[in-house]
Amino acid sequence: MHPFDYYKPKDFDEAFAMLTQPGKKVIPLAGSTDIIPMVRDERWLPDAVVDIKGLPGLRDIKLVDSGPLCCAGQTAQCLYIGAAARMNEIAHSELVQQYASVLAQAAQEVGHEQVRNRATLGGNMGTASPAGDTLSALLVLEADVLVKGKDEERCIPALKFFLGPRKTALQPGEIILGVQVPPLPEGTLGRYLRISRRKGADLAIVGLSVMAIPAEGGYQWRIGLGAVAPTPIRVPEAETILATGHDEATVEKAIQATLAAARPIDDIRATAAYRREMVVQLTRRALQDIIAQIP
Amino acid sequence: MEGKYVGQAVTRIDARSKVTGQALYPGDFVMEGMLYMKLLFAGRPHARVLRVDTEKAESLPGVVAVFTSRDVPFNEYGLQYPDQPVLVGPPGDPEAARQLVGGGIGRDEVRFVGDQIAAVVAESEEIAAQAVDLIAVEYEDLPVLSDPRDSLKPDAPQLHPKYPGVSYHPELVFEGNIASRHRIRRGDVDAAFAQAAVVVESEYEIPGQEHIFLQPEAGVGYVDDEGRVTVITSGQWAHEDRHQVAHALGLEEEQVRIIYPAIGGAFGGKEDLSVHIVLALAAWKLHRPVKLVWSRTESIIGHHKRHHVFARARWAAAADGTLLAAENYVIADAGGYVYTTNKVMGNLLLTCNGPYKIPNVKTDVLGVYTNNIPGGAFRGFGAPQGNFIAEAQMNKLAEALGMDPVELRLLNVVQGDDPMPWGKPLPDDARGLVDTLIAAAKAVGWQQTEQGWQAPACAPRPGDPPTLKRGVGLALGVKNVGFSFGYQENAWAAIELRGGREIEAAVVYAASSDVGQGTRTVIRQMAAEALNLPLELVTLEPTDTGITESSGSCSASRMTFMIGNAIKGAAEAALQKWADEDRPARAEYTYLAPKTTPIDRETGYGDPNFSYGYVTVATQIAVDTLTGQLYFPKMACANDVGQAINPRLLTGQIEGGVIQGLGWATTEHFIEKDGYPLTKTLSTYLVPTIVDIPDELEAIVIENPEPHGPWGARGMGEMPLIPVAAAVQAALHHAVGLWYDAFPFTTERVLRGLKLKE
Repeated sequence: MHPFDYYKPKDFDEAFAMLTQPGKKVIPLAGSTDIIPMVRDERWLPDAVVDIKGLPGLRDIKLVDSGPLCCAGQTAQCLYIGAAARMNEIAHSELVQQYASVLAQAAQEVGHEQVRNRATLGGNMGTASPAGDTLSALLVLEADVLVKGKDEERCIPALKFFLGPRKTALQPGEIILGVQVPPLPEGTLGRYLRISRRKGADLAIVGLSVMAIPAEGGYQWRIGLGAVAPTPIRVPEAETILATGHDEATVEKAIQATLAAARPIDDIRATAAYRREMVVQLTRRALQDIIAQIP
Repeated sequence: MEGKYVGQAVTRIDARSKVTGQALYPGDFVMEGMLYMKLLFAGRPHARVLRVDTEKAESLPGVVAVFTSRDVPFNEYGLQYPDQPVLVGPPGDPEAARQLVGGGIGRDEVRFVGDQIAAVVAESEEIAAQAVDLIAVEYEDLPVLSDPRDSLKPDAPQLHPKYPGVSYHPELVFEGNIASRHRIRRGDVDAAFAQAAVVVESEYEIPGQEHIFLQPEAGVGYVDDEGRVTVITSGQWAHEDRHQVAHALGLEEEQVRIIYPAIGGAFGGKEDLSVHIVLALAAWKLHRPVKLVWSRTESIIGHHKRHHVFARARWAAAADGTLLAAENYVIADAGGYVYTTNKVMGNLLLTCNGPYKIPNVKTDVLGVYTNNIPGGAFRGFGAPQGNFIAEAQMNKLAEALGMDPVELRLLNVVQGDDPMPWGKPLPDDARGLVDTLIAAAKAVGWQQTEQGWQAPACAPRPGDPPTLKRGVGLALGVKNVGFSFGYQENAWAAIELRGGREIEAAVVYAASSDVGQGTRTVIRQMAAEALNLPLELVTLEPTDTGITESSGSCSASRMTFMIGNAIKGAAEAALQKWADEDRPARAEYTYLAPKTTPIDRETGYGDPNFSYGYVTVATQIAVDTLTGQLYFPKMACANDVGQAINPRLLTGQIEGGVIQGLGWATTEHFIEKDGYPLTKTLSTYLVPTIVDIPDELEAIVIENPEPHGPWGARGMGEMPLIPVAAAVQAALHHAVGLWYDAFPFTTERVLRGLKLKE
């Protein structure tokens, strides 16, 4: 295995310095469930890793007041999830289940039990695989991503965070502190569905996040897709259609709009044709699941 | 026949050491002054090696030696036939090369991606890996054959020279790219087809399979204090490993020693050599310990797979269901080298017509060279492929005849003196065929009615969406136990009784590879039983060619049967010597199994095996017709084991075998493209996880004593896997009305079939 140095910084200043050593390829490390197989298979060849999971606040899951950066202008509290919170902590958190059910469901689908005990939300985001289960959930939650560079923090909307396969809006040396999920009205419904070749411990062939948010006597819908484009995507065309109602004909139109938004590829896991078919089936299933819950 | 220890769920000998992490596997050994080896694999499917430049690698600080083809004294090996170079490249001594089979022609030719070019030995694994990257190889790429059907075309390049055959493997013909050829001719199939009420004709594609044993190939080579070059490694037949190592190094077998410590799985994947010869070569030349551990990807590239098979089958029955004829034409992908292809194909030949009374049989089986990873031994050894052909045909005939598949089998299954297609009856009464069939069928809901056995209706269960379809299916299997086709099966054991007036200790010597199935535990139980001694007094010496003779291969479901008989013989003789006042009283015994014969080259007639195992797998299935996902609420495997020596270990074999078969049938898709494997990691080659296996797996143990088996035991390790794929295919058909004739039944393949049906 390719050798690399391991750093465990005391604080953010030290972390920044270690992450920005000139001429070196340095990767932040949290759960290391991506780093270990990637380095072992010689797909990533870092000179060093910086273990950030012990930095203050990175494992918090809590409600926070609106801030000047993220969650700005909200009157109610936002849900804060630290970047090093593990998938199982997120999946089992009553706060997450209550405030961001779709994310709790997505976290429950990552890898398998042992992986979920180590893998972190920030790691899933930083790796930015188009198939990352939590990413489409963050898009439909319209979460904010709080990041920290040398001196200052900034807030990036999740919708602008993922730029391409394994490419994010992070600047050199910046690390993800956590995400903040804006408050949602009571009665919000969410569903995450995915399909994979093997039921356990396999990457998603298609991942789908759907939310229905009560609005003006009806519902505002949000749909997010994973593994069918270079980044996780939202499907505004389908959302607009569903805003007019959710009778059977409208749902079918929305499914077709979702399908039209997907740009899957053939790879070793599935053909593009199968992925397209699964977009249709998962979208229908998720919409039906949610509609069945609408009072 | 239950005894004080035989038939008891005794705790495994190695339970504590494995659970606490203290058991040493081949990669765990560390010796003083030990060096590390890394191999340069060819990484291309077909090429001539023109030049291997090791100068840069050798000058890297920390590198001790770089070995190439020029350093291997006798550059050939192979379990059945030495058609593979140890290291591919130009010969060192042209005179020695001319003594190799085929006159040493083509030993500079890479024939699959896992061929090895060079072995680097260095002070650390990191340095060895760096040095591998510094080796410059000049290749001349050659045309790649990636489909055995293409290899048979007249203009296909010939991958091997015309080797001389050997009398003891008459099926190895080396005709063009045909490595081995097998056939059965009985009666007149064409006449039978002409008068048959029902004919079922199919083409099948049966996939390969990767073993994914937990412990990838590893070992340490050194020269022991008696001057023997020694390799601590994993394998399935220590004395055969020794034979091949000695041959390649040009040594006497006594100068080579093989030791097996704890082994993390094999499933047939460790029958052929991997790290053995290169480690022995380096240790012998350097006189220092050398260690080599393969990565998972090296393991997947470096060892053989279950044979990928293409088959055409045409079977006929009379209107009442009586089988009239079976015609099978089978092409198997042997890959770049023979490995055990000829023997695997022999078993495929014997199993692809099932255990049925068929008056007219025409079977052709070819093992064909390609530039894919070689086909070879894998749990079932040709029987799983043969079984799929036979049982798919039977299930289709049942449908065509409007008969229940259990009834069709009961009507046609051999019993008593009914001959098998090779002209001889099964050597015991073969009651296990019907017994396992009925037991497994009942377990998933078959019922006996006035009209005979009937499959359950499989109605939707409460809460099922209308798009979920349920079904059941089953398949019956048979496979030989032990080595066959005229080979005189044998196994050696020795027992030493120590003490004065009373026996204070019994020490057992046996060269049995405990690949994880627990054979050492079972040996201890059988020895205690045979000696009538408390289990605590019986200990087992390690599997080490330095202190044992050959007990044969841990394969072909043979070890309990063979070593059990050897232990009985040794125990009896040792007790006699004890009575004669020998102290210690030591006796050796070599058990010889009943004789078998080769089968006729043209007709397949003969008496090829002395014992068989019988098994039926039946399964429930639920198919999500919108996604193609499969669920298995319940599977049942009924196995006639003769006598369970250790019921707990036996149940583990049944459960593991069924799940390994289910993986082959569903998620394990080994993909090769133009000679390059695409599924080289555990994230792309998918073995079932705990959430992929059946909700319930019922292991049904049936005990019809095997006349020659120790305490009536018969071999069983391979049986549970064999009928799984055909049972799943039948259940799929029952659920959705489609015959899937190619597998694995991946979600995508299942859905594609449903779409085509629409």
